[in-house]
Amino acid sequence: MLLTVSRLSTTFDSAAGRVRAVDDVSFTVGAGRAVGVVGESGSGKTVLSRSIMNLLPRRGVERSGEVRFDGRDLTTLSTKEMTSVWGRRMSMVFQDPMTSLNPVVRVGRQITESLVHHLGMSKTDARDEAIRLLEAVRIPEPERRFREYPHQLSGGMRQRVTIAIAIACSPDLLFADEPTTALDVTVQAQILDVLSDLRTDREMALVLVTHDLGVVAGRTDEIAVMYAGEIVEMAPTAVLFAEMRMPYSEALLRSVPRLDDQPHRRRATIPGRPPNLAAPTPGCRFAPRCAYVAERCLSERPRLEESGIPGHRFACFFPVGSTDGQSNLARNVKAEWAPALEIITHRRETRRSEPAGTPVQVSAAHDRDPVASPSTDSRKASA
Amino acid sequence: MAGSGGAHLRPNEAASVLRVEDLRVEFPARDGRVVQAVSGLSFDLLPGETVGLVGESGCGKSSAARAVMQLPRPSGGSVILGDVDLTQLDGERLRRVRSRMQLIFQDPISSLNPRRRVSEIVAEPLEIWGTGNAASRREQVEEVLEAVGLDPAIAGPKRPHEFSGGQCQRISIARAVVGEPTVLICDEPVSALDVSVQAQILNLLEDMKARFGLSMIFIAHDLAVVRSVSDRVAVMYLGKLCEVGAPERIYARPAHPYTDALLRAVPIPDPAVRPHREPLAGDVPSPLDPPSGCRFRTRCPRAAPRCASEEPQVREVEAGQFVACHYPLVGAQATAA
Repeated sequence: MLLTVSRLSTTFDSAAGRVRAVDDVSFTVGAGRAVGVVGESGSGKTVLSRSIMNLLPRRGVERSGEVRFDGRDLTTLSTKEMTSVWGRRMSMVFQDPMTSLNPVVRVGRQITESLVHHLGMSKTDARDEAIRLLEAVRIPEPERRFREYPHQLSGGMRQRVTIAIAIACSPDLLFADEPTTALDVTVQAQILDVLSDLRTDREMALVLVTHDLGVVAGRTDEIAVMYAGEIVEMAPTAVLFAEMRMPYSEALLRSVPRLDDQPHRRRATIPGRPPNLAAPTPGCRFAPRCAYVAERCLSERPRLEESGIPGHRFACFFPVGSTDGQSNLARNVKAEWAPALEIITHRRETRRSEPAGTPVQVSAAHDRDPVASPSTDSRKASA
Repeated sequence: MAGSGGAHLRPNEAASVLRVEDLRVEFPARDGRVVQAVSGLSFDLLPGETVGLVGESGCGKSSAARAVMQLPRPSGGSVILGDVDLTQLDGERLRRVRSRMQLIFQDPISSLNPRRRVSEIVAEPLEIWGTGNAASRREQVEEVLEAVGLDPAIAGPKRPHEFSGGQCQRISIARAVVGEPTVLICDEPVSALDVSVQAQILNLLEDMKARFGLSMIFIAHDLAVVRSVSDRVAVMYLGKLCEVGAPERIYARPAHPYTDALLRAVPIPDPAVRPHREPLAGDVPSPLDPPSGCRFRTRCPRAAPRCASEEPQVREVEAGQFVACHYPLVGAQATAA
């Protein structure tokens, strides 16, 4: 294994108390593999990649667990020792290309810098290599772009430059943290293609961090779904989509806008918001938003366990598709538990041809935020 | 694609809420050059309808929306709201009419004044217009905050930084609808949000539309996002219109090569569907010096010599599907290229 993360936890001290942003996370990335890490804002996916890369602030952070990269435990390395790992062995691309590029330094020098520094190339060799890199990330007219400043490039072009910088020293592992979120869909497709090609051509492993299951569906070997700092489901990509067991993964998938959506159909949502990590509850962290919730979920925390399919693990007592899960769902519908109503209506609408089951009165209550008042208001909204 | 004309406009009898004809937005640039942000855009909006305006960054969709609001005034064309042409109104009369249109922006956090309380932000439109008295205004603000799913007692006294992006977008929506406008223009209202929150906001916009009887212009760069909310979708490229039609139709059988490329770029949440390779190469050309003829021709897989010399006009290729392209993918000439 190229990267083995074992029981990694990262805790921050914040004004609201201690926040466990990454909670007991374990996973592996094989050489040349592509792994997707998916979750909402605040799920800890960015802190996870920074914890692995030793890019955490020095004060107010506590990290435990092990990050074994190519045989070495990165958590024991000093910043000085890490400089031989950063860039050369593992590297990172961030969401906003404008803030990760230096605005007053020409594009070319930002690429050659690491070539000269890490690989000890001469200036002319580094220049030739930088132009080859710009070609590799499919920037037209690389010689001209080499001499330009970041502000002269479009957003997509800038992101390609940051990728060129990240891969300059042929790392074995590239973290891409929401690399396409600020970009147009067309440019997003181009960037994802570039990343896929680089991975194949350079036998580089890729960890693609995103909030959109659509982005990772066709471009990863494995997916880890994160919620409130934990991995709640992990599986080979095809297995995850075919055998999704964790209600959160299902809810996340349902909220992706699709080209075949019905006109003016209410969109499936995940009601409420992620929990406050500074005040953890004993039960499953997704329980307050879950359609399959039962008593047990509120008091006991489910562990990540094997599903029976190789490589597929999930953390849920009443998984999607199980008998217990279905009966919970039916009971929650009866009790007019908003998330459950939502899941039922959504299923009914997606299978329009089938005869409807038990009639369910749907209110817009599932759309409320936690600061919202009790249910009366949203009824008004839907009236 | 990327042509002019108004073949897709519905006849006047349809009593459109908003009718934009031949809209031009130009900005001066250095050396006497001109940025042609919007060039001859026409569209109309019927009562209770949502028109989705879709295109990449720099296609002029935001400039068009602002020009509709007369922010700033367009360089040419007409913007008819109800029965008045906004481009012909002077300052004070325009100010009075403008309250009938409201705008929601992409970045919910920077579009709210960080120093003011939520209740003050939402009350501001009412105060400007002197609607009712203080008590009735307070009541109205509470009602609209509840309608967008925020508890007025909890949310009202807080300031924007205490809310998440999705909640800030709810506040922007409350501020936009409190004055009961007829037209709501949403400029990429969900592109800064997580997919799960996007869905909540899209549902909320649909609720608001029903409750306040709004007509909506919904701007986005992603065709999937506008699919469920729009009655009509207009695809724009470099300041011009490419294709207009009902989403069911143009998503199933896009006529414009650009619409086709945009559809292929949408990531499909299904690992069995291989992503299309390079649906569209390169970047949008500069609006300082747009290509001759069809503005899309430099990136179009179907471009022919005619596309450089002659600008395509918007025409109907199938019932209810309008396209500005010499060689559309749909219709009698579909095989011509």
